[in-house]
Amino acid sequence: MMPVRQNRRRYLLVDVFRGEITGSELNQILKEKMTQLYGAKGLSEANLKLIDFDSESNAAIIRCNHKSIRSLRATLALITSYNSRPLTINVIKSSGTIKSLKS
Amino acid sequence: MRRFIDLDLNPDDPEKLKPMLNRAKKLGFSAVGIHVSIEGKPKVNKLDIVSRVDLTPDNPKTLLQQLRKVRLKYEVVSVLCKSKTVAIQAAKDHRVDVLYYPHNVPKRRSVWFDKQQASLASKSNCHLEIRIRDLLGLEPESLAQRVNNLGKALWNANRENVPIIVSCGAKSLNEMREPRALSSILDLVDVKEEDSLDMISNIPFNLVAKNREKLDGSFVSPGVWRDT
Repeated sequence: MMPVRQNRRRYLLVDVFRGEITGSELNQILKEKMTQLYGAKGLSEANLKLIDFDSESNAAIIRCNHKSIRSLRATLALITSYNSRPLTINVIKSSGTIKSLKS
Repeated sequence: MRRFIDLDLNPDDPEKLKPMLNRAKKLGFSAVGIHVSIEGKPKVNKLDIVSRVDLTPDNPKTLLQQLRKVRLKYEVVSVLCKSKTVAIQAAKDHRVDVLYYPHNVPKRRSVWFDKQQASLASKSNCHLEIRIRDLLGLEPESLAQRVNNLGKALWNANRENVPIIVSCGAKSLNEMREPRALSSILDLVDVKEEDSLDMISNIPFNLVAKNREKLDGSFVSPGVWRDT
């Protein structure tokens, strides 16, 4: 029988709409909001990581555990501002590999 | 492939409507509900526009008067239940399609989707609307309270088999979310993914299709059509 990877990952391509932020700020917002909604346990299970952030196109790739994809989508949807500036993050595409996201 | 509908786009400025409709299309919605009459529906390429009205009556008598005026002019009639008496009347009336319980009413504790409301709504085939906008931009404590209230309302709705509709309720571009984000927010109250997706696709589409059939002109009563 084929071995199955236990920790499958999902990659989300997101669009940072009307937001002027840096990659590290985005990472910080994500982790803060996720902890607020799902606690430290939820954050650790999600295994979040900001893979790539392009400040020109305002697009980012975020990695998470495949079981936490709904939690991550909910977290992203509930982000509305950062430092009193409006910020909206929409998911454009999700995939199991970075390659297919970039294509 | 699923088609998604956001049954409530309500821009605070009429100039925002067109960019919001374009954004809805870009986000993946194939239909959108806006606050215009059937005659005043704008035409947008590849986007189905549903006309809806939100009634905000102060008492049951006003509600009945308003329903008489608007029922044949709009495809979806929603009632904002600001008081218990209005909520009871709205849940009993077959002309009401959607019930919405705002969070900013003075007597919030008595005006919510409780067991009695759910039972009445179930008999008259009313839908319960959840607006995701109500959960945006809140402090953690207020968000926790709202999620708690939402969980209770959903529990009552499920118990009585009241159909639930999830909409954005966006007043500006910043408040718009893509379909799967709307469904994922219900993860906070443990709604299964398939069920939450139905709340933004099958359930509202069935409601709109049924009402369009009724407004067609040849409809007499369920199962009976006039031969034209």
